[in-house]
Amino acid sequence: MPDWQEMVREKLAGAAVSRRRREELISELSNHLDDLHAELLGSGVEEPEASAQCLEQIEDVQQIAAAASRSQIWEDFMNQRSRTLLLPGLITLTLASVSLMVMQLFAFSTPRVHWVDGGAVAIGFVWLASLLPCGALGAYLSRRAGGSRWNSIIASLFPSLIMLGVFCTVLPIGVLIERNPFILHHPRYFGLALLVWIIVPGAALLLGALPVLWRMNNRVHPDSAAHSV
Amino acid sequence: MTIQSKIARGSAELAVLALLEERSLYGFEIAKQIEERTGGSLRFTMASLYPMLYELEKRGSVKAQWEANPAGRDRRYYSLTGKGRKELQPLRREWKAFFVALDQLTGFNHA
Repeated sequence: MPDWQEMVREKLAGAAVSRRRREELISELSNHLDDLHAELLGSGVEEPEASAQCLEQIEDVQQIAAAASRSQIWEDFMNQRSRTLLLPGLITLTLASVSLMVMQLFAFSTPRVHWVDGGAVAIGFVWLASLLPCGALGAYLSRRAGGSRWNSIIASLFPSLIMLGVFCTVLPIGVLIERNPFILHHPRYFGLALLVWIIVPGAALLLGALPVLWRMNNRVHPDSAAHSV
Repeated sequence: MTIQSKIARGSAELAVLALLEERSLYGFEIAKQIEERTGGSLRFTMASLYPMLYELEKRGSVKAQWEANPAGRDRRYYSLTGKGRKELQPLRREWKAFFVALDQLTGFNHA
């Protein structure tokens, strides 16, 4: 019996697919040929004829590789991480930002001033309320795309994580490079800003995400049901 | 794409999706079951089956997953996704309507 794996490998030598995908194709197609060969022999076809029929199938392997290559471009573009984390996270970030912008432009929400440890903290409660559905949507989109619980949590917290990234970048630059006197003399304000712009909105986003996460955890995903057959 | 190839491709997609609705299958099983169930009328070569499976996978209608087989070779199983399930019903209706229309026009009985 010919070495199908080697023959498929040779045919795929110039195919525009990644090494991982090439190995998958070699396994999948050579398995198919092995099965076909065994079935033909089992049905009484003589070995030379069975091999000849299998060889005919190999002729168009390049066509298969081209199809695999086309699907791989899409796969690379929308890989699992993009679908379950990046895209839901960016949607959450956009909605949270648009919501804040609308609140500020049309003054739907008059920020209430609360005093915390002697510092002024302004929190727009309407905006915070609008973050609940944003967090819920992020978690829902991530879970729907097959994301894990952690993916969904991160997707829903994405706006706060981005703000945390901004703070972690701006603060060291302000302190160490610019020697900004305001930052140096009023470090407490930045603690409060951390609370107002990251921790409290993060809590609102997470609060919105929790019912979605709980609900989806208690429901069998149709795709996973199909796999369990 | 000619009308003939569109029909062939459309019917092949329906056959594969309908089969995968029942359970997950690997490539050779799909080809074999379609051939057996249609009495040999529908037959897939590797070059017709796998490009279609990869296209369905790209569209999100099916998803593939390698499954370890301790007794032999690992297999790449294809299963219907939620999206594929949703596509299947209108596809069935369209093909049924197509055969009814063809029957009315030509008097042939597809059953």
